[in-house]
Amino acid sequence: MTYESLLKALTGVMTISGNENNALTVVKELVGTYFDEITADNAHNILLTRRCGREFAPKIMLDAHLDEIGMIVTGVTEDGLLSVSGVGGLDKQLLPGADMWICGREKRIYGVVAAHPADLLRLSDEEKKPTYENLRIETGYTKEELTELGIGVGTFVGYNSKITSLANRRMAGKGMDDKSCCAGLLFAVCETDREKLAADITVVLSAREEIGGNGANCAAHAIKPHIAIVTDVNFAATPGMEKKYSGKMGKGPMVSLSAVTDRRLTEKILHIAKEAEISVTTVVEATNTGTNANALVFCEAGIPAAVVSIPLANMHAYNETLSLDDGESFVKLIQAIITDPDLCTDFIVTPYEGGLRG
Amino acid sequence: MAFGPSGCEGEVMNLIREQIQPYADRIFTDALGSLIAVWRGTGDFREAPEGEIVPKKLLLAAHMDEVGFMINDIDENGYLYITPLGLKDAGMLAARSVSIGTERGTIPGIIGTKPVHVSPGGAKMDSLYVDIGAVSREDAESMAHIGDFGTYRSDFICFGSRGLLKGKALDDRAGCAILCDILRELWEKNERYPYDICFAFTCRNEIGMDSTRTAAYLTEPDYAILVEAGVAADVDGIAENKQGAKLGSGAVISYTDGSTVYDPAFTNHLIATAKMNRVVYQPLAGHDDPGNAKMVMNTRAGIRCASVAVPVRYIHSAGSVMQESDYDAVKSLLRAQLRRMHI
Repeated sequence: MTYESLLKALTGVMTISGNENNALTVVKELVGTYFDEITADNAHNILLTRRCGREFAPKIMLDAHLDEIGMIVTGVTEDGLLSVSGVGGLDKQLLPGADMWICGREKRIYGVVAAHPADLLRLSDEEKKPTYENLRIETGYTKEELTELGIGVGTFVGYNSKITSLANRRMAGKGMDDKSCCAGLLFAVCETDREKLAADITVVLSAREEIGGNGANCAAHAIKPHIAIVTDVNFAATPGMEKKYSGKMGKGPMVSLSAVTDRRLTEKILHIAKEAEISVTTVVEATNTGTNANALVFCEAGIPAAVVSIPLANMHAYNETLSLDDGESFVKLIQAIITDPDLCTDFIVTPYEGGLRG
Repeated sequence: MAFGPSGCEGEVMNLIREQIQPYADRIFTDALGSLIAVWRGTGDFREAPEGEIVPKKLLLAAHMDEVGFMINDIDENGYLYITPLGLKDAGMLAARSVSIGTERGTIPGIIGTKPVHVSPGGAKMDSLYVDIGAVSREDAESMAHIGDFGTYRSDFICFGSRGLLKGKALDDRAGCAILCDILRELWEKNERYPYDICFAFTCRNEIGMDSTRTAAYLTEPDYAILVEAGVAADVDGIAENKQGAKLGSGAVISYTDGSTVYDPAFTNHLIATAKMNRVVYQPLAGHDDPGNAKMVMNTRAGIRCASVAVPVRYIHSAGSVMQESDYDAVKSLLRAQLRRMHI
């Protein structure tokens, strides 16, 4: 198992928001033996716990969301064209001509988004602007046949793009947001000796982040961690992106400086990175990290959290692009964090005499 | 699947040449890069009905090129900027998986797009760039150069229950494939007509510089049929008067294109051929694909020109769609037409 193989396996599964449990089998197969407990909760989160083996050990929650953006069928014409609505924030301009998977009850079928040549058809500006009202997906089946395949209103539709390997270990594909972090967390924990863990670690592959539903909160309620590290992709510095709000690909993970997150924990992470000689960049996200951390910090009586990211280009497109070097540095950073013996010291609250929380 | 943006048709040409070399009486390329194959006639015009004109030479033409782009700049971070070739809509390219033809073969790239969070629908043609993984200008220049061509990477997929085919460049590889099929069939049956047939596989159609004209000059036909991909937009959501050709409704026989009116007598003759042979066809007037016919018609002392097309949906996108039965209809129509060229 490598970071790359794990990432490829995870992006190969269709986990549009609400369908996260589609990945449960694959996750169990790939990393099941490394964890003491694996549960899929009612919010569709997948929780994987690896214990350090010490009594009264603190608890760390490592979060990465497992869901990806997609679409849902809102109508079917007689000749088998699907109309859709977005699940999460898609750039509709990019959809015409794109390959799709239509996730029917019986099987997954191919579809392509209608892409009319506006110049040849003399379409007006209004007609050529892709909206969920005018986008259609071609299936090649009739409505009747689609019904037999279990495809109709409510069927999920996802990106159907192959992994592309570019020079310098850059890789493009669908669902890198946020499976690049899911793979990173799982790999980091699997590759760390139990005895070295600073705490009991629960990796939460959280649900419904892309629709703001925040499955991570439900997981936190169940785990009651002392600290949480939320990991998600962040904007890579590509042409046209403001430098201060983005991170350069290949320069390592990004650490968020924000009023939302816990500054002591964040600084500790930066310190750990420096000690371990892992290149990281920082990014300011003053009042909104755009991640599960926003709500997670107010979960229960409050959870100190930090946000660590992998820079990603073309976010939410079907060819999200990252550097595998960044992914592997991310793994190293997570390993350094979860093996730091002092990590939780400052964050252990002891409300009652005679024991730790939980 | 072959790589062939306008001006860079070599790979497509080699592929076609490999296919048809054994069947052609003569095969050659012209100065602009068209591939021309000749199927000789018997030269015996005695059977022609009295008073009717029989061509001495017929030209069947299809273009090899597809829409794409060219690298026009490389920035200090190793991103490649592009000029479109035959494409007007930035959305067709943004975020696509693409190939770039370099000295050392094609390499993969991804067209960059600003995240939807920052700039929804914001892709503009002049800000599109390709990420090939390069980390600096020098790094990029070791892989690709200004002037290199590029186009979509898109799998050829059969889908659905009525023989739909999806791929890039169906405009006009569908036409190229039909011409290859016809030449092979003529050879298999050693079907000779009085007149010569020239099969021209031409270049640079998508940028309006089609080499059909020069192929026509060189081969001196008196009749020509352009075998094209016809714009079909018969899809829910498009106003009925803009829908153009219909998928599954057979060979498109065009009266006009964006540039000219085809020879009406020849066009009507094709329609009669379709009717006589029970080939499924659809007459079409006024779709706006500025074809190459105008230039062909005015070549030398004038050439009688008609157009037959395979209806293709989503033309110029990475996901163009056609139906197998339409392909077969165009082929049957042309085969039937070859047998009755007395006009």
